[in-house]
Amino acid sequence: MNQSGAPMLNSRRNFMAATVVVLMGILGVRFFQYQILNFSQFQAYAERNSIRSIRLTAPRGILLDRNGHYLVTNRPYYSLGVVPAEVRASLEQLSGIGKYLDIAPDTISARIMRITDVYEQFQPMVLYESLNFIQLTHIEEHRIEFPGIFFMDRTVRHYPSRARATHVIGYLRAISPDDMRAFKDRGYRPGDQIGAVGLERQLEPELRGTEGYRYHLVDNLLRDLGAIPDRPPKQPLPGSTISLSLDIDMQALGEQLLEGKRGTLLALDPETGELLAFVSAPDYVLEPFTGSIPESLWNQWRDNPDKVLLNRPINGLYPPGSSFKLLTAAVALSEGMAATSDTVTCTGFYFFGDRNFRCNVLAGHGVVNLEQAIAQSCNIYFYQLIQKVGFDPWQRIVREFGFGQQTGIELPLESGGLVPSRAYMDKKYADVGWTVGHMLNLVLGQGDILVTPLQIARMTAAISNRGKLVRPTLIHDARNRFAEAPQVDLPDEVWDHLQQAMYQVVNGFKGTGFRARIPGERIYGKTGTAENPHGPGHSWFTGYAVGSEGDRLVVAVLVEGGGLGSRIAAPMAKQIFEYYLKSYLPSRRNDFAQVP
Amino acid sequence: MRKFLNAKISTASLDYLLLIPMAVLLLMGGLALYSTAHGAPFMGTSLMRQMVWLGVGLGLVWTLQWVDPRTYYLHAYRFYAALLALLLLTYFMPTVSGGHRWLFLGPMRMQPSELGKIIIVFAMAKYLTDYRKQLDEFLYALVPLGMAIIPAVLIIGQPDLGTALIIMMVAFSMMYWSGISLFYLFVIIAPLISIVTGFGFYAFSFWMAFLIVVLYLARIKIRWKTAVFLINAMFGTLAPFLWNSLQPYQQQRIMTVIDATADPHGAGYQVLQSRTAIGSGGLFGKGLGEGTQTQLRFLPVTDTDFIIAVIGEEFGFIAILLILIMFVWLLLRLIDRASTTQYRFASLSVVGFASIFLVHIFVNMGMSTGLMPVTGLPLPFLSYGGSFLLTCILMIGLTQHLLAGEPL
Repeated sequence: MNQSGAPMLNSRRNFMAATVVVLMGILGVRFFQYQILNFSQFQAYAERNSIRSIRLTAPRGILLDRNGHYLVTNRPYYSLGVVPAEVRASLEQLSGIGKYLDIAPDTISARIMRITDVYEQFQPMVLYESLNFIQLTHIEEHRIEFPGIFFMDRTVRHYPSRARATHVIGYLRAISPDDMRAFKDRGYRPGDQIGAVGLERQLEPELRGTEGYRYHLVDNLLRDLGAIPDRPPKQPLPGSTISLSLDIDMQALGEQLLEGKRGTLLALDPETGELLAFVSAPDYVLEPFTGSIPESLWNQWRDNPDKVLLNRPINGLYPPGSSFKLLTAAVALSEGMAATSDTVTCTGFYFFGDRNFRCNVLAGHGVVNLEQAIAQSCNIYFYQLIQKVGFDPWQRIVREFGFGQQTGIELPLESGGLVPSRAYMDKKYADVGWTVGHMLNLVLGQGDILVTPLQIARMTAAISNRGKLVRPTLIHDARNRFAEAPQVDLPDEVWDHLQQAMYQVVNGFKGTGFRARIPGERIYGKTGTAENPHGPGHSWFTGYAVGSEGDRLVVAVLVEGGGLGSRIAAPMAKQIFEYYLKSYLPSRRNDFAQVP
Repeated sequence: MRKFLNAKISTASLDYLLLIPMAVLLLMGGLALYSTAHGAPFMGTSLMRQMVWLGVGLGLVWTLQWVDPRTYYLHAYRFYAALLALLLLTYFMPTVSGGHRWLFLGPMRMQPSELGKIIIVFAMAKYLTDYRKQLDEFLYALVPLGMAIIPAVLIIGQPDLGTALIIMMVAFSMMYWSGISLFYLFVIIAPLISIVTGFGFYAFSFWMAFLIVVLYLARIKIRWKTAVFLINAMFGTLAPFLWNSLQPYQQQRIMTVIDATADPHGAGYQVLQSRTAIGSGGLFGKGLGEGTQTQLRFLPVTDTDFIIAVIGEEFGFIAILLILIMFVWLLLRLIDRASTTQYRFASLSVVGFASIFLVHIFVNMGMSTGLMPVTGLPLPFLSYGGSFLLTCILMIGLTQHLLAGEPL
C-alpha cells in the first residue's frame, strides 16, 4: 500500500489468510465430527425420523370362569389426543373444548405448553382420558372448531360379571421403572399397562399378547405419508383366553355372605386343587383402574383400617385355632400314642404349673374319647394328648400338611405362615425358657403359629382325599387332576377316624359345627375360634361336603373378630354346601370351559 | 500510490483463479437445488429461477466493462447517501412477514441491504483511502466505524440482525487492513467485549483488570485513558439492559447457539434436523435425491439457509470438503489480490468483499452444524436466492473490474 508499509501489509495478509484457514478448518472439523465420527448415531436418528412404526396394541387376554362365563373382558376406551406442536398456534381456540369436558380452558393450555422437549412436541399426547359417550358425541359434532384434535382408542378391562373376584383378578397399572427393568427386552414402553397384582400380574406374559406394527413414512410434522409398501404390517396377536377355576355363582354367593365383614371364604375341589370361590372381604372395585385411578380413591383404600387391599386367603396370617386339633389327633393315632378308645374326664379346667387352662365349656365335657373331643372341641383332652405326643412329632405333622410354606397358588407374593421350630422357640424364649405351657397353646392352634386360610383349606382337602396335598390353583385345567402332589402318609384307619370325627363335629351329639348341618347330606367340618388380642376371636370353619357321586367340595371360612366359629363361620359354609349339593349340577362341575 | 487505475476488463485480464472456484460452487449449488426440487418439472423450480438470476448477474457483470472503474471511488458517498435514504424508506413500506426489508416499486421489490453491503464497502474504502494520513488520530479512525454503524442500526431495526452483524465484521476487517493502529482497534472493539462480559461478574472483573493494564501501558493522555475506561465500564453495566431491549426472537437466536436443544420452537429444531441430515450423509452421502431428511421435509428452508445440509446428506463429507477447499481457494485468492495491488481503494474494497464472503460462509455453515446462531444468512453461490446470488457474482465481477490490468 505505501512504500514503507510493505512488510506491514505482508503481516496483515498473513493474518487474514490464517483467519480464513482457521475458520474453514473449524468447519471442516465439525463436518468431519458429524459425518465420519458420529455417522452411525446420526444415521440412526435419520432412520427414526422418517420411518414411524405405529404400534398396534394387542387386545389383552380374556378371563372366563370355569363354565365359560365372562369374568374379565375388554371394552373400547376413548381419549382425546393432540400433537402439541400442531396446536400451539391455535391454543386459544382449542381450549374452548374445555366446556365439553368440564375442565378449565387454562388447564388445557397449561397441559400443552408444559411439553417443551423438541421431539416430544411432535409426539401425540393424551389431553383427556376416558371420554364418555356424551362427551364423545359432543366433541365429534363440533370437531371442526377444534383443529388438531383426534380420538385415541385403546381397550381397557371390563368386568361384566356379578362376581367381583377382585383379589383373584387384580388390576393393571402403567409400567413402573422397576418393571421396565424386570421385563427388559419384552417390548414394554413407558406408559404401557402391565398387570400389577393378582392373576393380571401372574399371567401377564400369557394375557399380554404380541403387539403388531404398521410402518409408515412420515414428514417433519409427523404427518402420515402412508404405509411403506416394502414393509408389510405385522398384525397383533391377542392375549390368550384363560379359564379360571372360579364358579362365578359360587364366588358371588361367597362375596355376598361376607358383605360388610372382614374375612375369607374359599371353596376348593380336593381332587384337583381348583378353587371355585376365592373371597377376600372387604374388597374393592376394579372398574376405576381402567382409567388413571383417582389418588383420593386409592389413598382411601390404602388407608382403610379394614385393609381392603390385603389379599386375606394368601396374605392374611391367623392362628388356626381348634382345627389344628385334627393334626395332633392324626399324629397321636398314627404313632400309637393314643387309641380311639382312650378317654379323658373334662372338668372344664386344667391346672398346669401355676396357670389354669380352661376348656371352652365352663362346666366341662365330662368323659370324652378322641372323637367326642374333636366333635365337641374339648381342650382338656388335647392338653393331655399333646404332652404324650411332644413337640417334634407335632411340628413334623404340621409341616407335612403344608404349613409354614407357600401352597404354590399362582398368585404373586403368597405368605408361607409360621410354624415354630425348636430353634425358633429356643431363641424366642431364651430368657425364660419354653415349656409344656407353650405347647398347650400350640395344640389349640394358638400362640406362635400362624397360617393362611388357603393352607387350612388345603389341609382339609388332604383329610378329605386321604393325604393328597393338592396345589391350590385358580386356573381351570383338565390336567390339574393328574398333577403331582405330595402325599401325607397316614394309616387308613387314621384317615377314617379323622373323617369320622369331622362328621361328628357337624352331625354328632353336641357337635360344634351343627350349624353347617344339612339333613340327609354328608357334611364334614371343624370349627375354631382363634384368640384375637384385638377383640373377639376369629371365627373359623373348615370342612367338606360329599356329593352323590362321591365328589367333594372343601369350604374354609374365616371371619375376623367373628367370635365363635360355630356361630358365624359354619352357617356361611352351609350355604355354600347347599348351593353345591342342590343347585350346582354335577354335569357342569368338571366341564371344560366353552367360549360362548 | 495511486488511488485508481483506469483500465478496461478484457478476457486477458480475467482472473481465472477466481472464476474456477466460483464455477465449481455454482455447479454444486445447482445440483443441490435440483435435488430439493423433488423431481418437479424444471419450469418454475428454484433451480430454474436461480439459473435466470445467474444469467442476469453474468449479464450485469458483462456490462461493467463500459463503466469507468473510477466511478465506484468518485461516487461512493453518493451511493452511500442513496442507500441510507432507501433504508429509511423501507420503514414506510408495508411489512412482509413482520419485517421492513423490502422496497416495492410497482410489481418489483428489492432488498436494499443486500446491495448495500457493497456500497458500504465502497464508502469505507473511499474514506480510508482519502484520509489515510489522518488515521493516526483516533477521531479520524472512528469515522469509518460510524459509517458502518449508521446503516447497521437501520438494518437492525428492519429487523435483520444478521446483515447488521456482517456490516460490522466487514468494517472491522477493512479498518484492520487500512493500517489503523491496533490499539485503536482494541479501543473500538473493547466496548463489545465489555457488553459480552457484562453478563458475568467474574468475566467482567477479569476483563476490566486487563483493560486497565492495557490502558496503563498505552502512550495516550490520561484523560483519554479515563474516558476509555469509563465508557467500557458503562457498557458492561448496561449490557443486561441492552439485552432486554432485543427482540425475543433475536435473544432466542443468540441463545440457541449455546444449546441447540434449549429452544423448542423453531431454531433449535431446525439445527437438530440439519445436524441429523448432515451426520447421516457420512463420507459419500446417500446420493442425489436420496436424502431422507431433506427430501421428507424434516428440514425447512433447505434451498436457502440449509442448503449445506442437503449437500452434506446427499453427497457426503467428500462434497463438503470440496466446497470448503473451493471457499478457501476463493478467499485466499481475493486476499492475495488485495495485498498485491498498488491501488488502495481497490485493495480495501476487495478485502471488504472477501470479508463479506467469509462471514456468510462461516455463519451459514456454522449455523447448519450448530456452531452459530440461526441468522438466516445464505451461503455464497450455493443457496437459492436471487439478490444474494447477484451480489456475490457482482462482488467477483467488481473485483475483476477494480483489478483489471493488474499483473495476475
